Order: sequence, then C-alpha cells, then structure tokens
Amino acid sequence: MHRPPGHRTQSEIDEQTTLGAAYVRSLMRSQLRAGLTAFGVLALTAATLPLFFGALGRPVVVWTVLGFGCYPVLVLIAWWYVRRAERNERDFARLVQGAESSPASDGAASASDAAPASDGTEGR
Amino acid sequence: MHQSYAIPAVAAVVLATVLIGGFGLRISRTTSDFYVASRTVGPSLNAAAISGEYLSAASFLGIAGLLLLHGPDMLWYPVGYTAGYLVLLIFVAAPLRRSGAYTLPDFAEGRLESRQVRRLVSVFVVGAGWLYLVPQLQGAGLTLEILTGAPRWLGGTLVAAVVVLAVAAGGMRSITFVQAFQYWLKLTALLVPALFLVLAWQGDGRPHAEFDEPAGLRQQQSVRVTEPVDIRLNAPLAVTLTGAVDGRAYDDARVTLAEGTHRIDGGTRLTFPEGSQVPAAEPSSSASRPLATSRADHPLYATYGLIVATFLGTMGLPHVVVRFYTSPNGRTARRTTVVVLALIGAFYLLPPLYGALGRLYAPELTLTGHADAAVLLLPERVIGGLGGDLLGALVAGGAFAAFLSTASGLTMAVAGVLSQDVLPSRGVRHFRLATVLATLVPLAGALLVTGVPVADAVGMAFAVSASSFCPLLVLGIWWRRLTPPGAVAGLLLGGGSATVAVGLTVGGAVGSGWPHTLLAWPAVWSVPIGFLAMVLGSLATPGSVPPHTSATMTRLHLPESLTVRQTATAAEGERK
Amino acid sequence: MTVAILLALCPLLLAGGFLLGRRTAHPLGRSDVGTPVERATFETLHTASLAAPPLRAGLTEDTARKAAGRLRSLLGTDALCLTNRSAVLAWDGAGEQHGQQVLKALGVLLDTGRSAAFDCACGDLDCPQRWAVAAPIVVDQRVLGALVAYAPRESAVLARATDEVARWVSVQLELAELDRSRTRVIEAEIKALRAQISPHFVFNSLAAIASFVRTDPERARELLLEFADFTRYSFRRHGDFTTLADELHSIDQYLALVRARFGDRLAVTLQIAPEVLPVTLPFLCLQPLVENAVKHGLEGAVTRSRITIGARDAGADAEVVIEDNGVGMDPERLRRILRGECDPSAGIGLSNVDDRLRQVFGDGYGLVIETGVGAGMKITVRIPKYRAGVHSSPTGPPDRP
Repeated sequence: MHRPPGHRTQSEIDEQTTLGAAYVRSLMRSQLRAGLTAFGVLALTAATLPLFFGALGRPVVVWTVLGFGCYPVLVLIAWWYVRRAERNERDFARLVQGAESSPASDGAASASDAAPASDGTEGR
Repeated sequence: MHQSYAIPAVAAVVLATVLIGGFGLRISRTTSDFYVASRTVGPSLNAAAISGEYLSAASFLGIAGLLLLHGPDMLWYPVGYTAGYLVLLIFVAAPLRRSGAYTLPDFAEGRLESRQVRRLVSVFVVGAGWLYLVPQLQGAGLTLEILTGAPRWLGGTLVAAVVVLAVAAGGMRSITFVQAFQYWLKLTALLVPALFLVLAWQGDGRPHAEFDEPAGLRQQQSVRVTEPVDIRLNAPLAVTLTGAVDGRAYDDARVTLAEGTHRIDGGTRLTFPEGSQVPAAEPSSSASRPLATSRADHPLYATYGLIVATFLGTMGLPHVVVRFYTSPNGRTARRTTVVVLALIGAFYLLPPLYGALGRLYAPELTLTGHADAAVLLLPERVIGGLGGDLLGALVAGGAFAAFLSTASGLTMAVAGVLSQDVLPSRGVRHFRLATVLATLVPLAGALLVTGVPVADAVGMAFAVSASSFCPLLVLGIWWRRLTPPGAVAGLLLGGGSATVAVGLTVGGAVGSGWPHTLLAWPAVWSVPIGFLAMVLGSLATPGSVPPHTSATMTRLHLPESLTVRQTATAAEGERK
Repeated sequence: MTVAILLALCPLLLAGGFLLGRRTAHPLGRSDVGTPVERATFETLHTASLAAPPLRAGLTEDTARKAAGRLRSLLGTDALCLTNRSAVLAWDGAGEQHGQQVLKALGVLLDTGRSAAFDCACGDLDCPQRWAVAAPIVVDQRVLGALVAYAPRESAVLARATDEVARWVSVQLELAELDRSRTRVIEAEIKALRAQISPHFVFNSLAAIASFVRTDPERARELLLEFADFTRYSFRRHGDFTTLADELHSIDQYLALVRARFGDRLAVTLQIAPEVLPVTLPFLCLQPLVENAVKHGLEGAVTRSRITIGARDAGADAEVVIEDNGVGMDPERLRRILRGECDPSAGIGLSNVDDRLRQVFGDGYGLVIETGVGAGMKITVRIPKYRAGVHSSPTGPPDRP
C-alpha cells in the first residue's frame, strides 16, 4: 500500500508482461503510421511551396495561398488525423477486449454493452 | 497618433489584468453542486485559453510589420505558428497528456527516470522562455512609444511590473476563463478595425499594392528616420529635408536627391510629396537589421529555416505545454489541439490584411524602423477622425492584452521551473522570488538588445525549442531505446548549438554572408543535429535504457477508453 | 560550397554525440585510489553493508546463516557462531563441534546481558579454537541471543571487536523490529480507516435510506446507488492513487448520504478551479478530512453547519482547502493527534492522511491545520501536480482482465 515516492505502483509492474508490451507496440505502430502520413503530407507541401513560389514569381499567389488557403488545409489534416487516431484506439480496444473477455461469458456481455456507449460520439 | 483614447484603453487592460491577478480566485466557480464543480474544462474552452496565451505580440504586431518590410514571404510566420500545432497534435498532444507531466522537466524525468536530464531540460526551458519574453517586452516598449512618445524602456518595464504583480499576487495565469477571454479580446481588437479598414479601402476605389515595386505615397507624408539608413533611388526624388543626408546638413530645405544610394542619418525628417515613390531601404551592415540582411542574402534558405523552426518549435514552448495539463485526458487533448488550430488559423487571417493595407497606406514606415507599429497606426491613417481614434484605441488595448497574456503565461512557466528545479527550497516566497527573476533577466535583455524585429526574435526562441525539445519529445514518445545519456547529448548538441547561434547573431559577431545566414536561421541544421546526437548517443549506451520504459510507453499510448473500461469491469467483478 | 562544409561537419558532430553519450554513461571513476587505511575502512564498511540486509529481516536460522559469514570476515576470526536464547542458529568456520557446548557457557550472559570470555579446548588436539568471546545481542533491552567469536588464544582486540559487532547486529535487529512494527501500524491504520467508513457510517446510511423506503422509494433507490458507488470506490483494491475529480466525486456521494440524515443542517460550498481536477493524489486522502469536518460541524451547537471545499491552482502545486465552522479543536490536542499519541477514535483520519501525504510527496507536503476551540477548522493540503512514480490511472495490463 505504501511506497516511497519514486517507486512504481504494482499495476505498472504488471504492465510489463511481454504479451502486454507486444500489444502496446502494435498500437504504437499504427498510431505512428497515421502520424507519419499526416506529417508527410505537411512536410512535402511545406518543402515544395517555397520552390514553387520562387519559380512562379507572382506575389498574388503567395498572398492567396499562405494568407488564406493554407489554414483550412491544416485544419483538415488535423481533423483527418484525429479521426484516424481515435479509430486506431477504438480498434485496439476492441482487439484487447475481445481477447480478454471471450472465456468468461458474463464479462463479454458487459464489455459489449459498454463498447457502443463510448463509441456513440463517433457515429460510423 | 492621438493619445486621448489609446491611453485609457491601455490603462483599462492593465488595470483589468492587475485586478484579475489580485482577485483571480473570486471568479472561479463557486457552487454547491458537485456536478458543476467537478466538470472538467472542455476542448473548446481550453483551446481558446491556449490560443489566448499563445497569440503574442509577435502575432499581433510583428507579422504585419514584417509583411510591410519584406513582403509576402513573411506569411510563412503565421503559417508556421499554426502548423506547429498540427505537428504537436500528430506526435505529442495525447501521449504528453497521458504522461501526467505538468512541465517539460516533468516529462523528461518521468520518461527517462533521470534527475540529471530533468535539470538540463529545466535550463533549456528557462532559456527558451527568456528568449521568448524579450520580444514581448520590446514590443510593449515600442507600442507605448508609438502611442504616447514615452521612452522605449518604459513600456517593457511597465509590462514586466504588471506581470510580476499579477503573477506573484497569485492569480491570472492559469485561470482558463481569463485566458480564453483574452483570445476573443485579441480577435475582436483586430477584427473590428479590419472590417472598417476594408470598407474604407473599398470606398477608396480598391487600390492594389504592387509588392515587387516600391510603394507610392497616397498623400504628402513626412517621416522621421530614427536610425541611420541607406536608401537606393532608381529615379531622382524631390523631398523636403531637416537633418543630414550624405553627410550634408539641411534645415527644412527642398532638395532633389539624384539617382543612386544615399545615406540618411538618424534623426532626419523627410517630407515626401504626394504620389512619390517611397525609396527602398538598402540592406545595410548596421546591426539594427541583422536578420533582414541575411534574408535578403539567401531568402530561400531563410524561409526553410523559418519553416523548420516554427513547425517543430511550438511543441516545446513552456507556456503551451503547461496548458495541456488542464485537459482531462489524452483524447480531449487531441481534440483541443484541433480547435486550437482552427482558432489560431482564424486569427491569422487578419495580420496579413494589416500588412497589405500597410504597404498601401503607410509605406514610409519601412524607413523608420517602426514597421511593427503598422497595425497601431493604420486605423487613424486610413479612417481618421473620431472613429479612427476609437478603433486605434481598441487595437492598442488588444496589443497590450497580447503582451500581458503571453508574458504572464511565460513568466508563470519559467518561474515554476525556476522555483522547482533551480532555486534551493520551495514555498510561496520562493515562487515570488522566482517570478521576479523570471522577469528581470528578459527585461534586461529587452533593454540591452534593441533593433531585432519582434517576430524575428520570437523565431529564434522557436529555433532553440525546435532543436532541443522537439527531439526529446518525439523520440521520448515514439522510441523505446532512448537513453538519458543520449537525451543529454541531443539536448546539448542540438539545443546548445542553436542557442550559441542565436547568441552570436544577437551579439552581432558575424557580419554577413552565408555564415551569418546559417547562424541567424539555425533550425535547418541544428534540429537534425539534435535528433542525430540523441539517436546515436542512445544507441551507444544501450545499457542505460530506463528500467520502466515499457510501462511508461504503455501509459503514454494506451487509450483512456481501455483504462476506464478496465476499472469498470474490475468494479463489476468486485460487486459480484 | 556550404553544403560541403556542412557534410564535412556531420561526421565530427556524430563523433561528438557518440563520445558525449559514452562519457555521460560512464563517468570517470576516482583517480585517487586511497591509502591502505582508507581501503581497509571501505572494505569493512562494504562487508558490514553486505551483512545488514539479512539482519534487517530479523534473527532467524536463515538470516543468521546468511549474516554469519559476513560477520566472520568483519571480525577476521576463524570461527563464529550466532545463537538465540535456546539454540545455535548458525556456525561459520572450522570446529563446528564446539557448537554443542556453547549454550552452556552462555547461561550467565543470557541472564545478565554482559559479555563473557571462556576457554573452550575440546578433545581434538588439532582443533585451533581454544578461546572464545561472547557478546549479547540486545533488542529493546531483551537479550535475544549472542555472538560468539573463536580464536586460538586470548585476544583483547577480538574481545573488543566482538563487542562492537554484537552491538551493531543489535542495532540492525532493532531497526528490523521497527520496520516490522511500522508496517504493521500502517496496515492496521489503513484497515481501521477503511473499517471506520463501515460500522458507524454504514449503519447510519442504511438507516437513513431505510427511512425513505416507504415515503420516497425513488430517493431511497438513488441513495442506495450512491452508497454502492461510494463503498465500491472506498474498497477498491487496485491503485494507490486517484484524481482530484474522482476523489471529489466520492466526497459528493458521501455528502449525499450524510445529507439524507441531517438534511438542511449541512450546507456545502465548493470552489473548485477546473484546472486542478486532473491532479493525482493518494487514494482516499480528502474524504477523511471532509468526514472530519462534517463530524465537527454537526457536533457543535451551531444550528447550521457550513463546509467549504476549495481547490485552486498554485503554479506547480494544487492547493485544496477544507474549512468548517464547527467546534474546532484545542491546538495542543491536535498536535498530539498528528503525532499519533492520542486515542485513535479522535482523529485517526487526520494523522493517517498526514502520514500518507508526507510519505508520497515528502515532508513539505503535510497537512496544514488552523483551528482553535470553537473556532472551526481549516485544513490546507498542497499537492504537486506531477511527481515521478505517482500515476492515477489504474491501468491494468491490456492482455489481462
């Protein structure tokens, strides 16, 4: 019950099972893939735009693109990423819950009851 | 500029800040309803608070000033400030919240389980915070000078004093409602005058600015040049002069300057007739515009330097990180960041408007070194009369709100780190001492170092943040093999080299050419160095991987739905 | 050109990073290796430190066996034995046959607690152990056993050393005893604290709920659900930490049950800064304080008891204040309660919470209580927003329920 500060809680020691780590790694990989995709789009755009502007040499285009056009794009990328990341987490939760509650039938019932409630905000 | 309305507006903002600081607690929720009391801060409210704290003087005044001076390439600043939040969302937001860290040193200690790394990160947090505070105080000085003619040190000192009072009195900074209000205040202070300005522009026959040509004056305009400047004339120009040009003194003399380059001494007053072209200021070797010079040398490199610094630097700004703690969980933190993106994006539609109108209506500001004042001067210049004065007062109040909210957020964050990790013991008194220290150093910096444009100075803070905190956060969250020695190596080489580069630039050690450009825009090379050093340092010390890495990673990435549901099923089990 | 310079710089920087990483990972050791005396001291201290852990678990056959070897090299003798009051626990070194007679020689020592020396020649002429010195092991003024060192001949140095080592062993055992009793006390306290929730409170709550069953069945049902939630939170078995939001929620349920009994006599005002709701704190460390405030408030003659619960942001800390206008307490009595010297019924909640906060966050984070007889009570708790190792989410492994 009482541990000096700096020591880990029991639950965290439990977390270090190899199977648990493998599950978490797979979640991290899927999240990182989503992140890198979004970042790739952003980086590619940001890297080519200055060259493009330089080649074009028309200030009006720079004003329009940077002054107005890019913000909706940024928000769109962000929105796509959040949707994707939350879907990854939902899939992961379903995967883990399916794995844990299949042996106990009553547990499975309560888990499947809970799932739609928390997913309700998404609306698929 | 007429002072009769601007000063009351500024005074009102300052007074409100002090009052909220002193009586901050009173406006937090008082209720006997637990449901209301324990309702956490929602994404939209928290996002407005983050935006309110984030939109600084650099955003409010600096961007329009830079646009006026250097043209549309400067639009990368607001784009970078916004895109930085996208990168933060993608790699950092949710895991950082789940780590439970309140500050960056907290995150470093929790992830790497090392007090040494914590201490080093603290040093960088304080450094980046100070670097970011300097332009806030400078901007305040400039604003007050434009509004009242007060000496430049006064505004910075005033803001510093108000911030110390408000923060040390124990309120202000963390009250989400107040910071959220600040966002809407700043938006209004730019939006309303902007609407009138656009209407006036419409009524004026919608003149177009030609950005690749020198701007033409729309009326007779006199300009006082504060610092020596070289101008290049493509055609002879007739002006009325009081002061010294090319070493010859004039007193209210009408002179026609020949084609070619002329040197105008500080303190000279030039009066241009209507319709004449405002001459372009030559990139001079004077220390007053180091970054402008380097930009003129290598504009493309400077643009990339700016992009890297702002895109990757936002995630490490101390006052931004602290705000994410208010989000109840990682999922909310993510959604909050999307709203922040939208709010900040909406705000950044306005400064370019001021920049563009400034090129039309106040082109002479490029000569005076007061380009940052464009936003403040435009309402009076374009609209004029009582309406112009009132709108000018609104802008001035908004500008001061920008200084105060960002400065107090930063001071709070820096003082927190100082009192926790640097000063010996803890307690309220020490926190006050830390607050004073957190403000005094950048105030001294602001008084000593002048002439760096506000937005440029902020860009430097971003560069340091991008080369130290970005590798730490991204690798810390996504790479299991990060070790404390590796993190130290990355922080020292990446962040250290960026800091040295900024120091050399501000100190004016390197005059011009590529070396100067590289030092003025360090992010392009210092960020890769930071990442590489961190990765290689970690790979070289595989034995030092923190023992609880696996558990920490689980906590950072496991979705809340899972942890909450597990608690629920556990409780379910207990009930049976 | 510049690109070339940059490319040339890269390997240098990489090498720099590599070296820096290496250096920080393996800081250089002391170049000065010390004098022989210093080295001997270090060795002695090291041996002592090796012997300490087994002894900290108490004096049993197992721990004695583990410690005996270390103690013998500490003393530098050929043989050594550790006994309790009735048997030899461990023998280290040559001449184990001496062990059978040693208890006889220790009779006086065990009674008086004074060191003794005796000749111990045995039948074996080759046996080198001819003289022994015994020193008592004393814990709490009781002689637990003896440390006996053997030597070929009489030695004053060994006698003195044995005395000192026995005293050191005693201290270790005393610490072990202290450790055990402290753990016992804390366990008992936590049990008492959780139990304290039950008897009185459970009975009263259920009685209050029962009184509504006929008159207002809907309210009774709601209260029963609150009661179930509250007890579930209080008795949850996993995780030492919770968030301020969850703790407040549990306090709300507790107060709902109290109000069911006392109705309008209790008024609660909350002033919670939403910024501090995610703060992590030890599980059940505010609820006892509120319970305390309720008790004091309702004990007094005041017709209307008023409790204020405030939580505000204080930089890197959060500050929680619980205030009541009840009977208050004599500060001296409060001091004794916090030292744990008072009857446990009076305020075990307070001292327990104080202990736990200090244990988790350090001594700077104990309760600050302002009170006086008839002056109400104001309890201030400071909680750091982040502390390494303190995490609220009771995250179980994803692969296990």
